[in-house]
Order: sequence, then structure tokens, then C-alpha cells
Amino acid sequence: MIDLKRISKWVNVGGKPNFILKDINLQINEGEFVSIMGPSGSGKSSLLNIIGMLDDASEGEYYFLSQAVHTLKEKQRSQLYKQYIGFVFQAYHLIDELTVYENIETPLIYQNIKGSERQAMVADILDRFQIVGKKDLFPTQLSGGQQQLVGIARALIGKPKLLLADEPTGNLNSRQGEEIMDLFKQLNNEGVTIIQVTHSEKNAGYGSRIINLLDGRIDNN
Amino acid sequence: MLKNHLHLAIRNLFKRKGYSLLNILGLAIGITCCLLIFQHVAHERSYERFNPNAGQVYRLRLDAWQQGKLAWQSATVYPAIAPAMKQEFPEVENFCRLIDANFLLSNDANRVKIRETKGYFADPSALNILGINLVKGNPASALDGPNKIILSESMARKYFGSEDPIGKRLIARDQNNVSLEVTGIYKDYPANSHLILHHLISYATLNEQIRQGGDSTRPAETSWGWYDFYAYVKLKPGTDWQALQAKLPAFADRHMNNREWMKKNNNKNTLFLTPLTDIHLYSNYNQEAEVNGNGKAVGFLFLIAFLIVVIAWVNYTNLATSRSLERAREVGVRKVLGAVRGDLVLQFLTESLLLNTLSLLIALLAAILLARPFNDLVGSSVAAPFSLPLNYSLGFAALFLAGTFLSGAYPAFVLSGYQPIKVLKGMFKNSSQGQVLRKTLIIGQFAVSVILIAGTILVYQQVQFMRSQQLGVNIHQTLVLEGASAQQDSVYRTAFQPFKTELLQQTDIQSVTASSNVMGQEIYWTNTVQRLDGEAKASVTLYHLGIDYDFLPAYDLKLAAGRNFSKDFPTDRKAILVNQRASDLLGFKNVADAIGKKLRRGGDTATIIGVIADYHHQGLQKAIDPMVILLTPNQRSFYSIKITSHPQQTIASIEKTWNKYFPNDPFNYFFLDESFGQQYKADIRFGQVFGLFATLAILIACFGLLGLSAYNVLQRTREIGIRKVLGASVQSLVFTLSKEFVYLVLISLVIAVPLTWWVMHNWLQDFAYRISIEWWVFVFAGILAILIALVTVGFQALRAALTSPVKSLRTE
Repeated sequence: MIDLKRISKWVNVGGKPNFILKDINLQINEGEFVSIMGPSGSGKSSLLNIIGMLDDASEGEYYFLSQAVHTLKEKQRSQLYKQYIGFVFQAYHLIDELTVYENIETPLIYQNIKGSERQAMVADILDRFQIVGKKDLFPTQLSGGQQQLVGIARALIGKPKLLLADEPTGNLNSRQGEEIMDLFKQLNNEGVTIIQVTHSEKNAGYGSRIINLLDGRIDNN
Repeated sequence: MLKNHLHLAIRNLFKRKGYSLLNILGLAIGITCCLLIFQHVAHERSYERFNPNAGQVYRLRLDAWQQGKLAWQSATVYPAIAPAMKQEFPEVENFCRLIDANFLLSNDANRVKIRETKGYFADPSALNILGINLVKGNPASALDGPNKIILSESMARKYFGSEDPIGKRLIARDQNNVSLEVTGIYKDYPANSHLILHHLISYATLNEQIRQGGDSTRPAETSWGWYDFYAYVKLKPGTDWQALQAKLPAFADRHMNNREWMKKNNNKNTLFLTPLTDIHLYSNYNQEAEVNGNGKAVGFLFLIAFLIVVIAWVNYTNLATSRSLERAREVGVRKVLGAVRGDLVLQFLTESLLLNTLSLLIALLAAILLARPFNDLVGSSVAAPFSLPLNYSLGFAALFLAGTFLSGAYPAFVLSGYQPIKVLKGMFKNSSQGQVLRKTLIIGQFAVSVILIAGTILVYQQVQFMRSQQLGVNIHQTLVLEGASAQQDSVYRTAFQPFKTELLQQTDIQSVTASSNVMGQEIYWTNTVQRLDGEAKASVTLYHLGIDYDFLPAYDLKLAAGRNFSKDFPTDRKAILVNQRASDLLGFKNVADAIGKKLRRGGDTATIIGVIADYHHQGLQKAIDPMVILLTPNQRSFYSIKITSHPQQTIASIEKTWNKYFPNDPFNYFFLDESFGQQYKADIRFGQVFGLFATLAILIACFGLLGLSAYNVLQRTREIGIRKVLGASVQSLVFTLSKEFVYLVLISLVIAVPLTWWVMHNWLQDFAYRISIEWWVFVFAGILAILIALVTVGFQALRAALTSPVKSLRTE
């Protein structure tokens, strides 16, 4: 599903390149549950952002479902992204002005899905996550765990093949964290490919594979 | 998706009430000004458009040069010009001439008698050329032949009530009584014309009257020197009028300038065409039929309308971009959720459209409510409630949409361009490019504000200057009566002296004096005067004033040399006075030199017995004209009565005496100082309009500044906290937070000062007597702008500085 070839990422500091990622080669197959681990500044998030097409690599090739992402134009990339990828953040990043219902609905709007269909899909996922009663509340009225649940619901509403999560439990207490990880496991069993960035060995344990990053290189795989 | 955007926009509007209120209020004020000014401008530019021939009709006007110098520019010309043009230029289809026909008109049967002041003798072709619609009578013959009169519908009602006036007669009382047959009734002439036409008398009547008066030369047809006629030519369709105007110098040379005495005196006439539709706004010469509008002022207002609404939109742009940080996260999230740039641009534009539409609705309501007071303020004669003609509505709609789009587009593109991961990771900073733009916009706004403040001060100063200047004549406590004209000369002579004597017996009346003109009124009586001595033999046109023996002392007019007219000198009938300016123009070395010199004036020889000190006969916009003053004791245009006290009682007793001696004349009076002050009305009004818009521009600019500084303070919360922990005082914090804005206002001053100087210097050129622009005006305007900016910004800064540092540091 994902094939990274010799991916590097650097920023120029004082005229010299400062490598964030160096020479990354990585394949991830459909159905895997991958955890990316490593100390702060090892490039975990950068790698995730490149895989999630939120950022470009400085060098190297990236194939997603056999399409050469590094050659695609902005619009095509956005098309690909909308269709196949969902994102979950540590800080949830819900839109404060929108209700739970509307936050979840937003990706569907950008995919030009008809109103009646959207309604059905959102109702479905609210039901599944057991947050129907919260649908008219605003994010600030929810606890962190609930917010993250909404965040995941929002990421899943477009039925993505790949779910990317950047420290999804980082802002949650351990009980809420466990619930989220159980949910991830369940999603993975249903066939969703998941890549998460995490500091926690315990969370990484939910996955089928761990990639350790150190100073922008893959340490062991 | 659009519904979604709209929904979100409404929610955003309510979530940030203060911000929305600032924006909507600012925009609504701007749009209201714009709408009201558009209405005014549309009205001012609508003049003569009702006339189906307007595009083909041109009025002739004249520049007269004497001794090689421009002597006068008049809206009127000689009566022989237009017929000669029709004969010689095939492009002239027709012409018509008008000349004042203001009489005491009476319908003896109904006992109605009124002094009419808005009537003309007119050629039969006037009906077609001026677009006059007869509702009764035959247009082909209504003005054909002598002793015919046509009336407007209102006039007809006034004199004949519900009777049918056609075929009935009105008497025009002048020196002789003329009986006129009513041959037509026309729809009231529209108010948006440079002419007010209450009645028209056939041109043949004028010729007939002159013939009966003993002049058989038919001067109203043949004169090349009597310049009291309005002449209009209708050109054939498709004629290039400027090409025709280019042929007029040769035409003038052929008919007028080739005369021996013209050449000898280095005199010359130049003819011009004025498009009918330009007269109201762009024609301001001697003898205009009515006080015309001011094209410059209208254009200036138009510009202000744009400036104010642009300032409001600039504010919107400014406030919206300054909030970018706040909304950046939302943009980032939406992008992660799959929004492409177009989606976001559309979303922000929807918000902008919503805000603008709300403002527009408020503005429309305000325009409807404020139309009347606004029109009073700018002196517009628009009577109807608020409405805009179609082309202005479309123009406004285009402006509104363009403004909405442009003001919304910039923030939309800036915001939608953010990189999502940078924003979401908190690596986001306001771009310096945006800062520069915002600063530029603030500088622009304040520059406009400073221009308007300084402009207001200068207009006010000029008006004060004109009003406070010594006129050289005492116009206070003066009641002016319009003269009695209903009697024959011989009867009048026996009536006026006893009338005057009886008035003077009253204790409250100091003096009674008759004259051909009073201060504050344009003098139309001019004639050529030539020196009979000396080498120069200069021939110049002088403005004539006819007075009686008591005029000079009554008005406290000073003599620079010689003496006043006196009953002790029977020869004074052939004597004249001149003013200093005329004495200079005639080439006398000094005022004493002029005394005893002889002049030729209208076929007579007259001796100068005195030179009066120059005084302002008209407002200080006009230069003092060279004048000659004649003794005409039986002058019956105006009677000036100096009263000492009790004006109401005095007027009542004067009226009683008036009715005793002049039973056929209406009693009309006015106070001279008031009537003189009318000349400054337009300028006072201009100042008020200037002041109003200055206030509004500043208000809107302040809204913008308020929003920006509030935001600026918010962004620097952490910095403020740290500074406080390090020991900064409240004053120093306020200073830190405000100084940036003060710099901006200072820069705007640098831009505004030369611009203001240039604009106001131009404006002042219209005044013969004017103030010089003083440096302190700019300092004052600048200090005012800085103070206003400081108060606006300082309030926010003070609040931030007073907040506990613990609170401000916790937000990070």
C-alpha cells in the first residue's frame, strides 16, 4: 500500500541542511497496524506528515496504492488524500464553531457527498461510537476522551483505507487512552490500515509492527 | 455546501459580536454616505435631461476683452448673434433667445397682482428647444406675434383659479401698462433645469414695446452690443459642436471685432458654446439665470463617497486579516479534512458577503431615514424620498459587489493559503507581508482623515474671514424695500417724496434712500466709459450704480477725494462719482487727480466730482468691480431704510405708509445683512459637509484602529506579562503598545499635508479675497488625528497593561 524509497527531509539552518529524515525506505501493506516510535525530534511526526501528504519530502519517491505521490499535482494529491486517508491528532483539532455533528460531517462536504447521504453516514457513525446524545454539543462542552472520539469518528466518516494518528492518546488519561486503543484495534480488525506515532510501549503493543526512529533514520524495523 | 457556508458565517457573526458590530457599523456608515451622495450627485447631473433635445442644444456665451484685458465673462450675449449664426452655419437648425420679463402682473378681474421675477420674453422656437410642453394652446402660434403670454399651470391657477385662462388677459405694469393675451398653458417646468420659467411673453412684444418707446432700430433683433440675452442654438443631429465653436472666432471677427472703435480700444469679443446639460454644474458667469450648482463640489462629494466606502472596506480587510491567527487553526483542520483552497476561499467570501449584505440593509434603511436631513445639509433640491435612478443603482450595485468581493478576497486568499501542519503545530506566525499591507492601509485611512480635518478647518477659516472682513460699508439695521413700479413716472415723482418725508418723521427710522442696486446683489447695469482728457483716452466698461443724495451717508460710505452729490449744485445731474478701482482703471495718477475730469458715458459728458473709497458691494468671493455712481433721485429699484430699534413695529408702520402711497404695489422687504450673508451660504454648507464627512471618515478609521489594536494587544499578551514581571510600569507598557500606531499616523501626516495644501490651495483660488494657508492648521489636524488614535489604541493598551501578569502568562 505504501512504498517509501530513499525519502529524505531537511531544512536549511544557517545555509547548511539539517536532516530531519534521512534515507528512509519503508513498505507498509494493507491491513497492517504500525506504530512509529522514537525519542523527541527523531522525525516521527515528519514521517507521518509525509505519509499523510500534508508535507513534501525533500528527496525520494513515495508510492501510495501504486501511484507516484511525489509526481502528483496538488489537486490530484488532494483527491487521493480525501478518498483514502483519515487523520487523528493529539490535540483533537476539532473546529470550535461547529457542533459534534457538523465536525463529523465536514469531510463529507469536501467530498461533495449529497446531503441526505451525509445525514445517513453521520447518523451511522454517531450510533456506532455511541455519541448520538452529544451530536448538538460544541467541542468545548466535551471531555478530552469524548473529543478524541469525535476526532476519530470524523477521520473515519469518509471510510478511509488508511488512518494516521499522531499521539492520539497523548492528551488523555490512561483509561480513556485504553478505550481509544481498543477502538483502533477493532478498526484494524475490520481492515483499516493504521499508522500511529506514539511514545508509549503499551500503545505500541496494540500494533502488529513497530518502527523505531533515531535521528531521522530507521533504527530497527 | 453554500448553505453550510452561510450557516457557519451566521454563527461566526454572532460568536464574535464586538468584531462583527465594528465591521457592520463601519460598513453601514460608509455605504449610507455613498448612497446619499449618489442620490445627490444623480440629481445634480440630471439637469435638463428631461428635455428631449438636450443633446442638441447649446447656450451661447461671451468673453469681452477691453484694452487687451478680459473685462467680463457673461452667460448672456447680444440678440443679433444667434440669427446670424443660423444664416451662416448650416449645422444650426434653430435658435431661441430669452430676456428677463419681470413685471408686476395683474388680473384685475380677480384682483390678483403679484410681482413676477421668473419670466422671460422668448422666441416662438423656445417651446421646442427648451422642451416646454403646452397642455393648452397651439404651440405653433402661442408665442407668435405681439402681446401674448403663456403661463405655467401653477401660474395659471394663481391668476385664474379654476377658470380657463386661454384668451383672457393679464396686465403687465411697467412704465406703461401692457395688456397680454394668455395663449397657452404649459406643464410646470421641471425643477432640475438651469431656468425657472413661470411665464413666457412673446418676443414680438419686446420689439413692439421698444418701437412704441421711440426706438425704430429694432435693437432686440439687431443689436451687437446689448448683452442681456440668453441665446440657445439647436444643432442638427450629429453635429460636432466643438468644430462649430472653432468657427466662432472668425464669426466674431466678421461681425463685431472688425469695427473701428473695437480695434482702436484693443477690444474683442469671444463666443463660446456651452452644452445645455453642462450649464447647471459648469457654468458660472455674470448674469446666470439662476444660481447654478458647483461641478467641482459635486465631483468632490462623489470622490468622498468613494473614499469613505473604500475606507470602510479597507477596515474590513484589515480586521479580517488581523484575525488570521485566530482562524488559522480552523483553516488547517479543514485542509486536513480535505478542503481544497477553493472551498475555503468560497467560505470566507460567503462570510464577507453576509456581513456586507447586512450592512447594506442597515445602510438602505438609514439612507431612507436620513435622505431629507442630508439633502438639507448639502442644499440639494431633491424633494422626493430616497431613490436612485437606474444607471446609478446599477453603478452602485457594481461598486458594492466589487467592494465586497475585493475586501473579502484578500483575507480569503491569505487564510486559505496556510500550510496545515505549520498551523497545527503552532509554528505559525503572521506574515510580515500582511503586516506591511495592514500598516499601509492604516496610513491611507489616516491620511484621508487628516486631509478632511485640515480641509474642514480651512473652509471654516475662509468663511469666517469673509464674514469678519470690513466691507467698507455699513449694512446693519437696514431694511430694504423692493421699489414701487406700478405707477407712471410722473405720478411716482409726486408720491415718493411725501412717502420718504412721512417715514423720516418716525423716530425709529434714521434714513431713507433709493438706489438701483443694494449690497449683496450682482450689478447688471454696465456701460462703456471713456476719458476725454489725457493721452490714453482709455475706454473701459464700468459697473453702474444709481443713487440719490442720501445714499452715501446712509451707508457710511467714505469719500477718498471730492464730494458727494449735493442739492446745492444743480449741475450735479451731469456729475458722477467713481470708486478707487475705476479711478485706477481709467488711468488717473491718484484719486485727487480724477476730480474734475470729464468722461464720456452713453453719449453724455459727465464730470467726476468725487472718488469713493472701495467697498465690497458683493461677498468676498468676488473682486471689487470698477464702479461709476450716478445721481438718479427717481431711482425706484430699492429703498434702503436704516432703522434704530423695534423692527417689527417699524415694519408694520412702514407698510401702512407704503399702502397709502403705492396702493398698486406689493410690499416686499428683506434685511440687508441677512441677504448679504446668503452669498456665503454655499460655502458654509460646503464647510458643514466637509466637517460631517471628516467626522465619519475618522469614526470609521477609528473602528478599524480599535479592532486592530485589540487584536495586537491579544497577540502580545505573553510579552506584556513578561514585561510586567520584569518590572515595566503601566505607562511604559501603554507607550510600548501605542507607539507603533502613532508612527503610522505620523507617516500618514507626511502624506496628507502636501495633498491637503494642494487641494485647498486650488479651492481657495475661487475666492478673490482669501486666507493664506497657515502651518498650524496641519499641526492641529495632525495632533487631533494622533490624539484620536491614541485614545482608541490607548484604551486597549491600558486594559492589557492593568491585567495581572499571572493571567496573561497562563494563556501560553
